[in-house]
Amino acid sequence: MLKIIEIEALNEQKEEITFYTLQPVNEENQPTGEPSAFQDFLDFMNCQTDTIIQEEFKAVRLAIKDYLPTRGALECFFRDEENCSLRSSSDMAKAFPRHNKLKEVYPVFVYDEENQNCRIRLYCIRVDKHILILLNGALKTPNIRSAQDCPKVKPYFDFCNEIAIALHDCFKDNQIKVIEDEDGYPILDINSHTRLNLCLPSRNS
Amino acid sequence: MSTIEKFMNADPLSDRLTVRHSAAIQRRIQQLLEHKGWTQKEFAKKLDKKEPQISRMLNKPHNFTLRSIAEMEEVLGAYILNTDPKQFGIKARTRSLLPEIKFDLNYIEDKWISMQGSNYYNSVNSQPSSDVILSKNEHAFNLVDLEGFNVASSIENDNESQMYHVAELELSQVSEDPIIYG
Repeated sequence: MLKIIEIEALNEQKEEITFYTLQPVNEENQPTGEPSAFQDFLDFMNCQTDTIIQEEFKAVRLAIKDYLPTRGALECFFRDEENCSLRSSSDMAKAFPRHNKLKEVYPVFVYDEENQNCRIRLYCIRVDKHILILLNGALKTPNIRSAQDCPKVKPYFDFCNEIAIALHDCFKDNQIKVIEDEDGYPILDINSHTRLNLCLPSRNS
Repeated sequence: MSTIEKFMNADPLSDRLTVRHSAAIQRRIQQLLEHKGWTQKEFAKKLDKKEPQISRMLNKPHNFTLRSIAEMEEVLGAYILNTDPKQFGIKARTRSLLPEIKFDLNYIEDKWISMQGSNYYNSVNSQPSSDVILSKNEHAFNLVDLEGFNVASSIENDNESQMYHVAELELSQVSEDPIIYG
């Protein structure tokens, strides 16, 4: 089971976005000791040795730490990753970054390999401009057009869609609400019993 | 070091600041466009650029040059970068080069400036306060004295009211028709 937790390190300075992720918990609602969805993604990326992938990862890191908190989670920064065959009426399932080419992703710095396709897919749930739930992701196989056809990212793509559906239901049932904190920043108000009956995709899948 | 700590500390501050400055400039331009009611297409036309070029500039991290910022400031009639020395406690008098736009006092009274419960117009005529409060929906301007020197600037923020210290404003210099750069 999973519960939504704040990523405190990213939320220390209250800015345009409050970041959340999903933490595996047991029946007693206690952390199982497994990494959160976002930690799992970071651990995976930290293991990558390819220089270009590291450059891509740097772009994603800076976007999460510095670009998105200043601009907010504007729709135009994400690619829509909703699986139309699922019953979700939500459009919350997104992937980051939006653009394929490194030079499109991150033109602030000039890379030698600027025409290299960006392979990172970090899946996330965009609740609104101010609330982003970071999930996990992987490296999309080059020359495969859609995430659904790529065996590397498909489990994360599917997981993101399942989470989007589950959260959509939680919002409908008022188990989760968007409220303002004492300083007026939008945050999630989550019923303490709310857990999502899903598991993080196995990294070996 | 935990995974998250490693993530937070992985990048040099200069890289992080570059991204932050880029994002802050874009946010400022977007606010000015909203204030003026201009679409990106209209803005592109005024800058003699193609719309996709402007869209890229405003919606992805962009390495702005001082030249491109100045050109946009000219078209927008407002500062994008605010280096007003008073904000940094520097004693200097810097003349604004932006064109003056005058507003009548009633408009200012209603829409622009309030001062601790009263309004700017009244406070000019009664007891002045040292702070000006901008209401949260209002936008950027530079308040200048009659010689054209900047006495208060806003860095607008849609989320909250901000207070601007204008203790150095000599109220005797403020006419009933103060000059505001829009």
